[in-house]
Amino acid sequence: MMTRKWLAVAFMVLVMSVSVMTGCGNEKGGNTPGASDGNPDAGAEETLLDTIKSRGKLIVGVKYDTKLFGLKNPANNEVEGFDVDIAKALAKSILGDETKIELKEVTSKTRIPMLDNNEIDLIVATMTITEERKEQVDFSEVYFKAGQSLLVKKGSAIKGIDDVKKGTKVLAVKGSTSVDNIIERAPDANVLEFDNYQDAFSALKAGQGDVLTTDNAILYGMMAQDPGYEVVGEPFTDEPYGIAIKKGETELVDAVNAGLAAMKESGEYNEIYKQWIGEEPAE
Amino acid sequence: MPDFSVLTDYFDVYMEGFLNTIYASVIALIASFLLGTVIAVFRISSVRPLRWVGTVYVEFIRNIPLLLVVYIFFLGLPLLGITLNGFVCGTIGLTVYTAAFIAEAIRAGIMSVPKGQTEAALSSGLTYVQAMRYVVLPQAVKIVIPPLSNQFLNLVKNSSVLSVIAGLDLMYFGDKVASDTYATIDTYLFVAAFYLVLTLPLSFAAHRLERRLAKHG
Amino acid sequence: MISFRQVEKHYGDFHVLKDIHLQIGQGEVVVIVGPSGSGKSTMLRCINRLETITSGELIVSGQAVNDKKTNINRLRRNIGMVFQHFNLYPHMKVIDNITLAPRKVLGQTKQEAEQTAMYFLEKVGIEDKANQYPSQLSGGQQQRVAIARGLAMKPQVMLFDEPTSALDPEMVGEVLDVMKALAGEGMTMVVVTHEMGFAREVADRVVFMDQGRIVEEARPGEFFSNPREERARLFLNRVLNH
Repeated sequence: MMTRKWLAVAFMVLVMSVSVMTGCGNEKGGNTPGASDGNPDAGAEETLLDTIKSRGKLIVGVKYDTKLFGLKNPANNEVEGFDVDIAKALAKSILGDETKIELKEVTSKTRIPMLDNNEIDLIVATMTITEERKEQVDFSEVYFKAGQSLLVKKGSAIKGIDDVKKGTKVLAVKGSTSVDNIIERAPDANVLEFDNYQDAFSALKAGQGDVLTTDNAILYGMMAQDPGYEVVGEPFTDEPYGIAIKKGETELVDAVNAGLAAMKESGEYNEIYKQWIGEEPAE
Repeated sequence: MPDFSVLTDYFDVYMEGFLNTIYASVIALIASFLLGTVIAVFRISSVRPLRWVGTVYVEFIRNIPLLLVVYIFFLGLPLLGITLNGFVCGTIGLTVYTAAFIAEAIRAGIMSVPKGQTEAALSSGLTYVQAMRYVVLPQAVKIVIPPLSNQFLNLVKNSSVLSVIAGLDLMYFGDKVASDTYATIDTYLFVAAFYLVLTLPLSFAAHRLERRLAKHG
Repeated sequence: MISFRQVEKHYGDFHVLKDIHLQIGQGEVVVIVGPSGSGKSTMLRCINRLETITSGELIVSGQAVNDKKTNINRLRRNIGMVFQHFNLYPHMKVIDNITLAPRKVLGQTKQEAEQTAMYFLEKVGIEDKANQYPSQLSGGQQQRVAIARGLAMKPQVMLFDEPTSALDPEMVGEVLDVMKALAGEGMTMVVVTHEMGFAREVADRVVFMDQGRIVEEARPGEFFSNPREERARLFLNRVLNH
């Protein structure tokens, strides 16, 4: 009985200290978007876009662990990638200066709660636009056409999903939806499954298969690792990445869309795309 | 109570893997026994270079994980222009790996046969190979059977390494069913049962053979 | 028949055989005696290259034993050997122990080899044990099988390496009797033994070894009644006076 009581007390202490710590984190941050004027209610009429402008800084949630899109470079502690550069370009278009930005690390799990908590203004973090998510957040226009694609050795006869035929050896990762997708699109292909992406890519390099299939974002990462391989064809599944904004902040959505359009117009988008993805974006 | 639909719905899938596991095991079993015997004879040979080859083989292969041996064949051989599929590479890897242990078991068995036996055989004019074949090995077999049957059981279980190089074995399809159904524990229970179907009879046979050999002088 | 000239053998730092000179002629029975560790067995085992010599010349039936060109297996067919511990093959019946080499080496048929085997088993007096396993035989019987096994190859020379040392005393006689009979038939024999009675009675020549050297070589009558060397005298005193 005693032990149980103590355990309960210990647990309560633990829970309390965790909430105090996270609370502290917020306060110490001092630049929580909604609390920027010290009184969230006072900003009720003010749009998030106004807050950002008066604060003079865009706070963006990006991934810190995703190759090509948002990855912390251990050499200089800078977070780099496609998403990061898009976010910087948006800072420039909204605030006139790409350095007026603060990056915060998000994961797939934390990004929506952080947005809801006003800890971040935007999510630029390999986030696929889905109907389900649209109920929770607003999305910008598509800024990256993600989807399942094919990686082949340069010069391969396979140029797209239609070239995957009977006898083609397709390498994939066990238990991923990409296996189901490829079987649906190319039922006669010989699918060989591996435990992880590294093994599957090694097998492709060793000539143990003709193509490797998974999300193109991952394939582009492999392509960056070994330029002897290339992503071919359009993605044959549709998983477009969008920038997520807290629901109801229409002005900010418009500003982001305007920024994206301007980037595309000026060619900046293509530059960023080429730098990280390694090729021109498909039209 | 495990979910038997995981077994019945995917029975054909398990069977394909099960058969491939049997093929890989039987091939590797025979091949590793032959290779292991040759390596063992190398190791106790009086010809120094042979002895050296045998020792290097055993010490290298025995002291790296099977997984790496298999990767070497699957990913390394293509560098030499030889690309063999996961099943073949896995079976070769299993053979090469198990042969090192079998060589050691056989060597220990041979060493336990008194030296006088070889001397008697050689002094009667038998060649070294004949002395081994007719005099030493038949006596070594009795000593070698228990460790050897252990190695064979290990071989069957180790064949699950094929699953990481798409070797289409029982474990490979087990993984597949598990990730399709999310009934991971149930799936692996059935996979374990399939392995037992293979290993238990082998285990019993080994025990019976041991007892029979023990009876005859 | 057998000729040692200036033979030396080292085991690492240990100098086992020193400047061995020895000639053994056809039909001769030579008995080698000496304290244990004197190199007798080693010298015997050099004859069929169970031991290799370090230097010098060792010729058996006209062939240099340690020459790489010599087919040692072919040479060994002509040299039968009997060991202290019999070294019968425990997994084979007596008859199969004897027929193995004739069949595998000389290519005799099973029938042919078994006929020869039975002849020699009769000769050593245990034809009734042909279908038993060695473990079912007494030590003396096992050693007689070993002798029959050596004879079945119809060798030109028989080597005996302390053939009675591992036997219970009551079995020594039956083995020595077989060896005596063999000597009587004119077989060339080289025998390492502690059986001085056998040496005196059967040997044409006794070779006394000590510390890796042949110290004395003489007719048995001479050697036993009047050894020339002090060390031989001491040795004889020790072994004969108890």
